[in-house]
Amino acid sequence: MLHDWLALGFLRRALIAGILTAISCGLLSPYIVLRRMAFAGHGLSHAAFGGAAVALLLGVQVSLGGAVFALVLALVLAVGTRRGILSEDSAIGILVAASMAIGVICLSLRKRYTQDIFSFLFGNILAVLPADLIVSGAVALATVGCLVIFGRPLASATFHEELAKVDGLPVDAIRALLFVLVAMNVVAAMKIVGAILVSALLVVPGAIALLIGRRLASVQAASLVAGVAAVLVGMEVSYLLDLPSGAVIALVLFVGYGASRSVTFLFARARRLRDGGTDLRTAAGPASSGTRNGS
Amino acid sequence: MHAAPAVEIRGLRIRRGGITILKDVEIVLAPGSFLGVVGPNGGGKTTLVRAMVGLEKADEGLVRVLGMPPGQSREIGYLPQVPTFDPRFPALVRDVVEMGLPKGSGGAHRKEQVARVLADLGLTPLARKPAGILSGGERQRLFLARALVREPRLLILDEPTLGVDVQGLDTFLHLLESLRIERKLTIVMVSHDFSVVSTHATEVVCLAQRIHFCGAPADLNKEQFAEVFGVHNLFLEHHH
Repeated sequence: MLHDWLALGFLRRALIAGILTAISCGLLSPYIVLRRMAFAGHGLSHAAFGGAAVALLLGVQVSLGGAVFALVLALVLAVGTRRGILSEDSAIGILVAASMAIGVICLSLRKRYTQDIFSFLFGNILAVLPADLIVSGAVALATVGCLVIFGRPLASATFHEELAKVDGLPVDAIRALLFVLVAMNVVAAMKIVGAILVSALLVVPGAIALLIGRRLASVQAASLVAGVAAVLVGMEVSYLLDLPSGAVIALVLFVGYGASRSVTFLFARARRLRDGGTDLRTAAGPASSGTRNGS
Repeated sequence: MHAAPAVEIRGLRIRRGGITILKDVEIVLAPGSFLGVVGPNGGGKTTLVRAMVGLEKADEGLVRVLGMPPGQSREIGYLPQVPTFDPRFPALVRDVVEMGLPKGSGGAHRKEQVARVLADLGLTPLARKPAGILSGGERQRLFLARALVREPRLLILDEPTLGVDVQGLDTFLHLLESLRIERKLTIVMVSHDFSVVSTHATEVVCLAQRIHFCGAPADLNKEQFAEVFGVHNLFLEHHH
């Protein structure tokens, strides 16, 4: 089966695009979860749908339209919510509804759904073109580069934004950068899982990794592994059973999250039983008990 | 020659949503001082210290901290009123403290600084524990460690004694006192509890929208206290 993936050109492209997207989304995912940007990721993917529909109506590249809408929404969110004009969730709700409405109207003007827009909505990894591969590679490179270069300030601002600001970190720029990275990853992941399911790749690997890791580096590594594994398993299952790849990848991630949740719950329970009902804090010694609300 | 003030505030006015939070605030604080900021709830204490660290913008007036506009100096340690964070954040206690260090210091030196401040605050046994499992009082000490690790010249603390028991409070105040004397550290501490600041502060400001008293704690009389807090019986006479 692996032979098929490597032997056939379109399958090889699908495999490479899937892995690149999983690496990129996997590394970004813990930040999305910790900064509670899951709804923003969902919103950006739906905004991209509106852009794709406009592009389809105008006869230009569908992913270009999606990218423009997603990036514009990302910047509006980063700037608008910083100035306190509107809360983030309200802004997403309003702008996504408008974007989706534009998309529906544009599609209605064409009078028929096309394969292009269907791929955009639900993903079609087997239709990955060489140009899509370049986009996936560039997005993965940009994401990895930004996370390596700005890793420390990003972690600090994610831990406590106000303290990071007092320390002199450009927290507004960091926030804008994250929105832009999410928008870019949404566009890159469209071909793999589609606009509807893209938030699975952006959110679930990080949610799984946060159940496992104790430090940011290990969480990012676990998230990357979870994302890549889900894409590989999902692609294989979808290939074998002839099912839509995006939906299968999203379900694999869901099952992975459920399994991780169950395993960590059982481990915690076993540890509590072994320690005779004490928690981690008790083992920390006398320094941990000198507080009024210590336990 | 006089040293430049650690904090200089002239004619500060801050309004939010049509309401005046602070007006006509004047504070000049010499290096090495310990300023206690007291006042009733809603009196503007937190807004004042947030203006000092650049988290609130002044509508009128001048604010200079360590000779610079707010938010410019990197020699300030700040402890927010409610030191909260997402308990899922994957970091050990020592990682959180290390976040307080400025960029560029060497690896070995960083570890040494972190270990020292953890020991000063009795956090060494917790150094390898996930920060998310700490209790409220432990988090308070963790954030204080984060503020102190960069060896600031000015330490701004917003209600640092909330959630700290009597023994912990005594240890904490003695630590502040020794830091002030040994490192010439300037301290600004907000507290709703006058008795806490009256025993350790060199100066006290009673704030309720405007400054009602500014001077040595011993010079504050019952009438001035009552004017700010609206009650007489909370006033504690202190003896030197």
